[in-house]
Amino acid sequence: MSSLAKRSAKYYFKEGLKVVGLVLGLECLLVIEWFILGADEEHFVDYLFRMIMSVDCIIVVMINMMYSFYGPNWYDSLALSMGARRKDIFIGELIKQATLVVGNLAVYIILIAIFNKYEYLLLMILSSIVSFALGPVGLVIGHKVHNHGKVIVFIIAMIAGCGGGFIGFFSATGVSIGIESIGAYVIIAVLIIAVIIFALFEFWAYKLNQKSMVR
Amino acid sequence: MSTLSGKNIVKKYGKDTVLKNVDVEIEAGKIYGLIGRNGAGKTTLLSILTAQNPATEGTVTLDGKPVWENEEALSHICYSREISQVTMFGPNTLKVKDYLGTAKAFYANWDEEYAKELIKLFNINPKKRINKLSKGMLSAVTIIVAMASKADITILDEPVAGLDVVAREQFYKLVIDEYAATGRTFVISTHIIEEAASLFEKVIIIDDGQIMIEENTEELLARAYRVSGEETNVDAAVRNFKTYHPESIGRNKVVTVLADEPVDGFDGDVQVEPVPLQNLFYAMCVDGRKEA
Repeated sequence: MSSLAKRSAKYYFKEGLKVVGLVLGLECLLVIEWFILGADEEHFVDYLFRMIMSVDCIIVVMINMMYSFYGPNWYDSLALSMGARRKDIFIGELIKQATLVVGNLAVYIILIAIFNKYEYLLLMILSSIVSFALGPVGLVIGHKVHNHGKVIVFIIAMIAGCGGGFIGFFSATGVSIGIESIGAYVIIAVLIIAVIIFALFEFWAYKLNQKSMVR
Repeated sequence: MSTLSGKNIVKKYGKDTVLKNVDVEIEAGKIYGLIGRNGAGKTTLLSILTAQNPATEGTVTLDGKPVWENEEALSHICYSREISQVTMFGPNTLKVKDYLGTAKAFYANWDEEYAKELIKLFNINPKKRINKLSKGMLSAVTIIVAMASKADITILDEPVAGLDVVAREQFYKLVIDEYAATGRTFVISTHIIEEAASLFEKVIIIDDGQIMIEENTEELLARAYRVSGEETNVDAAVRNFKTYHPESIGRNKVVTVLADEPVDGFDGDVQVEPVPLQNLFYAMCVDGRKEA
């Protein structure tokens, strides 16, 4: 690895660690809130653990996608303006995302092991895979948003919001939407879809990255 | 010795051609001034020369080797550009120390002690966020990155914008001292031409995406003249020369002349004065157009 490549990798690794700190910091703030809200819960530790795990699944996906989205027009642009090479920035983004996802997962695996809550392990692993897969989606949106404007973000937010509302409705009303029959195959399906999304969007992000410029 | 060379550079943004077959050569160990009107293509040219922006056509090389994605070439170059206080996502909330930290991470020869000296000199609070800095402080941060990078070829894009006169003089002294100590190449793009003109060993004038002049400053000014007098006398005196921006005031006329070589004298009853760089630049850019 060349010295510029090493310096770039180190820079992005440190950036990844900062984002891990941000995610854990957010969770700590929420834990304080749950302590207060769940003080009279019968099984307080179970309640707290359930909240931590279920919220972290969402936060790690959101934060990874958000920071990837910021990359092309902010952090990566800054690195490019300081003499970084585009391929090192592309690899650096992978390093940053991997650091966030793996670092976050490592912390929660330790918590799971300490509190003997192995039923949450699969959930955390799946959310880490989804988070990693959606990272390059954020990157592509970040590259495209400069040309197409922030309206693209609103469109995505609308689609995601409607999708979430749709799933929430069926979940709340108990109406079947057919995915229950997938059953045990859901994990394989998530893995396959995640790999496909990751591969396609990373390839697209690579192509966009090669033509990127300092904004 | 490093020569940064751009050949047949064309840059298009959609249907707009911003740079039109630009050839430019930056030789080692010189201080260049890059001057041009707003929108002339200065920043675009500099960002292409430093591989921060892809050219539509043309090549950029450092000692014959392409600069694009070339670690060896990039390690010799620093392009310190204007810092924006606003990003696409809102205010630029990066702290000065984080911005300089990024520079330190990427510039192989970064001089941290020198950076700290300059932070003190310009009285910058490193914990302050970029969106909270004044225009002058932003320029100071740009200067700190450029000087502390210790790059062989250091390019500064409008480094003195917003600086008060004391800070500007400090900057010019910094450049001269650093140049004397290390022989680094500097390329300085500026609108405050007259102040910086004495610094420039070579000047590049760009207008409407094309290089008009790329020459030793003294030699250029040695063949530039302001000729004034009665209109008929002036017209007769300058008839064989390239002239710019003629102005008539009553029966008198003033015109800027750029001869091919230094002229011993002009024929006829005319007054001849040397032309400062700023006035020459103004005359060349305004000539034949509506004045801005």
